[in-house]
Amino acid sequence: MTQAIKIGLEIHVAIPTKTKLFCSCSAYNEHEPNMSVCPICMGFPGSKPMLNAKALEIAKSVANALHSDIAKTVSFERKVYFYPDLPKSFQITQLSNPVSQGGFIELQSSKRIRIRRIQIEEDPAKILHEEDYSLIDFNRSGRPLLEIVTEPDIFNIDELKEFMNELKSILYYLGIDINTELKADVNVSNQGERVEIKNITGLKDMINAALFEIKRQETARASGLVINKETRSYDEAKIATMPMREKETDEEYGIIYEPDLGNYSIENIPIIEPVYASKIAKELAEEYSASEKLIIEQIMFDRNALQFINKFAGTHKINIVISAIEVLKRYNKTLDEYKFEALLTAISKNVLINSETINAIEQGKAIEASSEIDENLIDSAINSMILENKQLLKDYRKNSKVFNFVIGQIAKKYNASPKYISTRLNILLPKFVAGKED
Amino acid sequence: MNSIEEFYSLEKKSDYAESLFKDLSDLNSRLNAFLNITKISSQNYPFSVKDNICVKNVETTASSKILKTYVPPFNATVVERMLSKNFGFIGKTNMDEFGFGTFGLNSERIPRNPFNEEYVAGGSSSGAAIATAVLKYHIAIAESTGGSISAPSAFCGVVGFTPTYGAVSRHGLIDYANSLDKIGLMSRHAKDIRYVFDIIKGPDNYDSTCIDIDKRKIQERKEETAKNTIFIINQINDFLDESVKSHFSGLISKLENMGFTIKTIDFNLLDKAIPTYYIISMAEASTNLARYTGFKYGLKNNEFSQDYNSFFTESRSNFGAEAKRRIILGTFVRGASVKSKYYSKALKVRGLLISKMKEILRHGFILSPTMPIATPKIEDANSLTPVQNYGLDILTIPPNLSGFPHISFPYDYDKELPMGAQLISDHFDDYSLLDFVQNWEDSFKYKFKYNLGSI
Amino acid sequence: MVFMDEQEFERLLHICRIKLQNAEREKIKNDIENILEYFDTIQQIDTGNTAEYYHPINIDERLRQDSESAFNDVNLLLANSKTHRFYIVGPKI
Repeated sequence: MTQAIKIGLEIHVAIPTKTKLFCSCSAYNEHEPNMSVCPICMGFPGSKPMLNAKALEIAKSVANALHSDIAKTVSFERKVYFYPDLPKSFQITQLSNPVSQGGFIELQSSKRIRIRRIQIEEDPAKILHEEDYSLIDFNRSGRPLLEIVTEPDIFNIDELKEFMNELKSILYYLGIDINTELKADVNVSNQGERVEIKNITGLKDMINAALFEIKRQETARASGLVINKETRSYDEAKIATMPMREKETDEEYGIIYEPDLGNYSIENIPIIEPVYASKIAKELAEEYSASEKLIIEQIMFDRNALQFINKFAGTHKINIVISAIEVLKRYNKTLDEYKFEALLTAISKNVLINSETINAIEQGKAIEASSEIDENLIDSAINSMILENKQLLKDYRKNSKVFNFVIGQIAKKYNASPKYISTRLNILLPKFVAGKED
Repeated sequence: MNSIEEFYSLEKKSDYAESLFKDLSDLNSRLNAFLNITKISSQNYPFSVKDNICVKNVETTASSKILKTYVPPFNATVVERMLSKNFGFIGKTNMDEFGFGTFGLNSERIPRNPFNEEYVAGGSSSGAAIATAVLKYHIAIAESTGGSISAPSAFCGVVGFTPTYGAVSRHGLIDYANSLDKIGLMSRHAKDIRYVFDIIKGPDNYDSTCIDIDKRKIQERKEETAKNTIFIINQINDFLDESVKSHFSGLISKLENMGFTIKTIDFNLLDKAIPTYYIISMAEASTNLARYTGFKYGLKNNEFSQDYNSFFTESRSNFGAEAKRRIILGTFVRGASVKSKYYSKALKVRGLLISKMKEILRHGFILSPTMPIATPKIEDANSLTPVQNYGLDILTIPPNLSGFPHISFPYDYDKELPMGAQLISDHFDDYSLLDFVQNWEDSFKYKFKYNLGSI
Repeated sequence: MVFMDEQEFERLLHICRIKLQNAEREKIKNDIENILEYFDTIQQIDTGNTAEYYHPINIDERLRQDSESAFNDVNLLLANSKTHRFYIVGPKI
């Protein structure tokens, strides 16, 4: 049976350079419009592009991470079309000699979603749509973009989610900001011609658009209509794809070599080594008999978590390491490896973890002192609760309900480890029973 | 001593700058050399700038209606370098719109030949050539894509130097065709050109295609070019009119007497350079001119509420006819369905031409008349068809297409009108051309009708 | 003479956003057909294995370091356009 649903993606990723692709303007948006601009990124007559070396390095790193065949030299072309956000009325992009071709991302099922090509291009400006005119902000114009094009190898929404998550994790570990939503064109075919849905922002909308389109094509086919090759847009409000007003597919781009630039060899430029978090999670889970899901959750988008797990999984239980990571998140702290180890020790010893403990660890203080204080505190709390709950004294070993209730209350009040309290209770209760305490 | 040194050494009257400004403005009202004139200080040797090169805070239009009111917020690199060496900016010179023209006729104000106002000044650097022909102390920053320095220099009887492609930064040059545009110089003396070339040439952080010709010359030259051999291409005779032929043979005899070895050689591809050049230059130009849409700079279209495509189309009706032709043709030849036939093919022909010409230039210079015809009258030039027009670039296009440095110098006068010859040398061998013309000037004195600014 | 039919010519004009009317349209279309015929003469040339020469000389590989340098005259830049609250005003989309 031939695969019915096929989804392919063209993803646009902002390359995290300090400056724009062809000029030295800051690549980060200023709050006020048209602040980070110059004759080059505004396409003023007389200006010429100057290629950012860092953009090539980062692009090559991404290509390498996606197992793509990296070109020896790259070059650029002009793609001509008219729109108010395109300052030169052409975009400088890559067609014949892109950064790389081929490659893949491997899913958990071992299925590979193939990459067709990876290329660098410049971002257009931002348009505010007003009723009788447009307002244009060129801060964004000329920012470097990486376009990653996949083959139509994605067959369902789960694969789409997993692919995007994997990609985002790989990009995260290369230093690319994944908090700004990735933009993509999504190509969907459901037993017919491919329909391209342009300019979708974020995974949620990508999924909604794909779902809508799959259904729309199915419905159309069922009514006997033919799905033609088409370009559509996605309406977030309606959660639907719409036919595009402009027939962009008809546009004649008239592509020529970019004569203000040359050929650039990228063979010897340095790359950042990739990190495949999902693979690492699998390996760690196997090695330490831990939950793969738990580990993936932690390390997919957190290099600190990965660093700590790698370092301490051998000497401490993974669950403890993960607890420590969660503690850091809860208290919004960062610790170096030594201090993190101190935290691990504290947790292993059932020391009460609260903001006092954390501050102490952060300051590199010994934590024995504070745990002693807590011990006394807990002991007196236990004493009071036992007195309130005479039931506990009546065969506490059988009376697990009350036993657990006391533990629960004290743990909640003092933010202490239930295990520790349980241990103390088991020590103190017999003394009570023996009548040695009053 | 070059004329720059001479200018600084002479005592000037207190009203020097005033009278120069007045005299130049008066003459300019007839000749239309300048689109605007700035009063210089008598402390600065004057330089003019072709109107497609950006001067900060000075209206720069490339002689096009569509760029009226464009005031660049930056200086072209070449202008920065001139200003840093104390030269004084005297004004923007007239030209064919965006560089599209051989006779200067594609301009709102028709530039006129200073030797006889009924005749063309040549193009597209018309104003630069006229200014050089009328001012005693002055150097012109000009530009050539297909012959726009050579042609007007020949018609106006001045020296016009077009360096190797990439020798001078194009930052601030309003693009016609990026792989063909070259900034060059016009002057009355090769010595002055040499002096100023040293100032303006060389790599620049704002132009990726700008190279160091001295370094490249060392890297690429294995043996020194024979400086005494001059090649004449046989095929040019098919295109020269009679008066040019007879004057030119006089030049050849002179050069032989001066000790040069003259050889004739076949070059069958000569006329094929023209369509090749126009395909590439129009393809590139059509992309360069796409940015002129009537709202970021230049002439503004205020009808924002119409559909943006209509807005753009309406704004772009402000191009002249030649610009429209070239945009349409340029768009056509790079269209996906015919690209391999025109654009890609022309790029290969360029490669072929370069290697064939290099074979000759390894052994000597190439010399020809700069233009195949005698200076035409304005009314006659106006009646030429586009194809006839393009055909007259036959002698200037080959070196321009191939990026070889070349120089046009006055070698005779036909009645009162100057005649120019063009010498070509190999890539990066720019200074040999200047040596040659300097030598030529020892025995041949150029004649001028005006000498404004004489001290 | 290379003939271009009306529809093809109209499409070409739209692609480059140029409009021509009446006499000007006829003249320019005619000029273009003649010039294209002239362009066709390069088909006869045997270019063999020659590569496409995008530049007449070899261009050095010049890259720019990724360090910020703000343009100093943004106000002069924007003075060329019609602006509204620092946005550039353009045609509606």
